[in-house]
Amino acid sequence: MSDRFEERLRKMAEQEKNYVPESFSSRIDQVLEELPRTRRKSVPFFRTTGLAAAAVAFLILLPNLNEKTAYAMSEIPILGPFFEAVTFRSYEKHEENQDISIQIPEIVTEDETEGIKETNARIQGYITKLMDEFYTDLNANSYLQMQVGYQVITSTDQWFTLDVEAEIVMASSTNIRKFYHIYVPTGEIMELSDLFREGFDYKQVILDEIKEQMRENMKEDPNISYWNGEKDIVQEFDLIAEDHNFYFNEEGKLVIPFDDYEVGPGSMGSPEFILESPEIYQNLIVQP
Amino acid sequence: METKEWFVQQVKLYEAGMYRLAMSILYHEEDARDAAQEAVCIAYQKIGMLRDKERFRPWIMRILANECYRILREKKKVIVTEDWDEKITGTWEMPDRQLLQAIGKLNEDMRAVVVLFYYEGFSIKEIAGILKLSESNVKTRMFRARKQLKEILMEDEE
Repeated sequence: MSDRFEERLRKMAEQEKNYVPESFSSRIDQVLEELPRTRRKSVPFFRTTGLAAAAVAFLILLPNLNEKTAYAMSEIPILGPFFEAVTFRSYEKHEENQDISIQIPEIVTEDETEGIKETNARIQGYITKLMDEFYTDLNANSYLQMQVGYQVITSTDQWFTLDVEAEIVMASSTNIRKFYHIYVPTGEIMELSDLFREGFDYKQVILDEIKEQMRENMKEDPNISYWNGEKDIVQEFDLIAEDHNFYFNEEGKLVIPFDDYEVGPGSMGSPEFILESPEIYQNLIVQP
Repeated sequence: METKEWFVQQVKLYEAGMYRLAMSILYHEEDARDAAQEAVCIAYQKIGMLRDKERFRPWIMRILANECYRILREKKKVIVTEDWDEKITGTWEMPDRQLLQAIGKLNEDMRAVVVLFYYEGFSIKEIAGILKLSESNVKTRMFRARKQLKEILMEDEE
């Protein structure tokens, strides 16, 4: 392709680049106007605040308060009196070839159960593993970026779900999520396998429904594709694991999320499937 | 400067680019507005995760691209290339929109790559990050897009 043509394209783009329709611009203005001055995580089933307690915990755990940690403190989710998520530790590193920003959360409550201790240990172990992998990759790549944050997905008197989200940028960006669940009345860790009546083949029922949804999605929209196409879409994820990621949405429906590239190409992002099968809900033994 | 004030300034600075990216993926004015609205809200919620403020532009573009793909999936749209021409014929106010019209005639998988490269000046690596593609995939799309653009622009001139 000639440099002349390339130059022409750049000039044309330069001449056209300032245009934005009034309808688009005014929508942006409206959204910006309505943003709260103080940011708050969007938490379904939102309850009363425990900011003071969370802030105290944060200060004790991070006594070397500096500008960055002070900024991070504004990120502490404001949650109910039973369970809270606070930033246990923050890591920041910004150098020429690496850009790291990590917040390790910790679930806190008045009566810490073994389940909560175990969950916090798992969260710290999981993020440590991600960091180890990151540093291994760093040796083989010229530039890497890693961000880890968290948000509370559900907080009721029955259920608490914390979503730890990592974004790792190498050649392309990858989003990885891991959900941690606590059954509030007992403080126990809950996994997908704990949700259903004994003997119910939840793995097969969930897999069948997801496969069906995938086929429907692909049939209705040519832009949608999953690995292996229509003929054999299940090869790459033949099994739903006992600890497969899940969460309950605001309607109480069970949602099965997949990470980037797990079941489809990058353009599919991180697909999620909201399960509708009545059989699943008839066999649920816990609900948020 | 307060976070909100800074955030508002940044979004206004890049809103034209956001419009082009959303349109290049969604091909639909109303959907583009919806995607941008959602992207702005998500970005504001997650702004604490962005430690290097210099990287705000690629960061919000990546969030916007995610939202556009989500809307595409949810609405299960079948995009036809004529839509773009119809939309911009009705709303485009600049006298010279030749390149954007030509981009509208490209296949869907090439449009966002071209918009991010020529209008926004992103590198291949940055485009790969924003659209979650490999760098080689971006290069392939760019190569094919340039070839097609040349043909389209020559046709227009004839």
